[in-house]
Amino acid sequence: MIRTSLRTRLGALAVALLLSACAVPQIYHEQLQQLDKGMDQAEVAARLRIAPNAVYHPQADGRQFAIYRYLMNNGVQVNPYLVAFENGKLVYWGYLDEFRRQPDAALSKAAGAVSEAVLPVAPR
Amino acid sequence: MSIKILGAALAATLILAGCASHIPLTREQVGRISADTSATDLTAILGKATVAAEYDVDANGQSYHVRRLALKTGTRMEMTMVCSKTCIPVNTPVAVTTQYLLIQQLPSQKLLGWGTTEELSKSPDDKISSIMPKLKQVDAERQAAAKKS
Repeated sequence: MIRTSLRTRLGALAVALLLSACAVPQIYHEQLQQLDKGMDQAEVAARLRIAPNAVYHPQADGRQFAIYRYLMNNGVQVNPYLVAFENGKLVYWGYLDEFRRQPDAALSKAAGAVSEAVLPVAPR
Repeated sequence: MSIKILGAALAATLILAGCASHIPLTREQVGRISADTSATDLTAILGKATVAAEYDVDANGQSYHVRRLALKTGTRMEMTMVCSKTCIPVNTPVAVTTQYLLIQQLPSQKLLGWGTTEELSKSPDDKISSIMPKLKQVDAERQAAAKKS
C-alpha cells in the first residue's frame, strides 16, 4: 500500500515536472535555420513564432544593442538562447558562450553585460 | 531453436546495417577541412560520404557551387522485432545527423565556407552570411522537388 502510494506520488511528480518544462514557450534548433543576418525584429518574431521571454538593451563601445532572450530546447535540456539586434537588424544569435567567441568585441561585451540576468532558466 | 533465433537476429542486424545507403560525414572528416583546402583535396576528404544535393547558386553577382551532406552528430538505437516462433527485439545503431553545407566560389572552386546552415547564416564573414538567404531558398526548392519525385 505504502509502495503504491509512493510510486503514484513519484509518477505524479515526474508528470508535473515534464508538464512544467513544456509550459514555458521554447524554440527549437530547426527554427534557427530560418534566421538570416539583417532581418528586422518582426521578421525574426514571425520565424520563431514566439515572443522573447525577456528583452535587454545593453550598450558597449558606444553601440546600442537589443538582446532578446529565448529558451532553446535542444532535445535534452532547455537553455537560455540570445538573439541580438543592432539598429533594429539581426546581427547575431546563439548561446551566451557563442556570443563570447564571435569576433565582434562590442557585441561580446554587450552579451556579457546581461549575462547575469540571462543565464538562469527563469529570467530575472 | 535458440540458435535459430539468434541467427535470424544476426541476419536482420546485418541486413539493416547494409541498408544504410546514406553515408554521413563525420567530425573527423570536417576537422580536416580548412580555408585553403583545394577542390581535389576536399573531394578526397569527403570520400564515400553521400552528397545529398549538389547545385550552383548565383548570389551577389557571383556563382557558387554548393554541396549538402549529412553530418553525423550522434547515434540512436532503433529497435526492430525479429520473429520466428517467438519474437526478439534487435537493436540497430542509427546515425543522428544534421545538414552540412560546403560552398565553393566559381569558377575558381576556392572553398568559401563550410558548416551547418545555422553556422553559415550567422558567420562573421559577410560574404558567407549574405549569400545564405538565396542559398537556403534554392536548397529548399531542391528538397521540395526531391520529395515530389
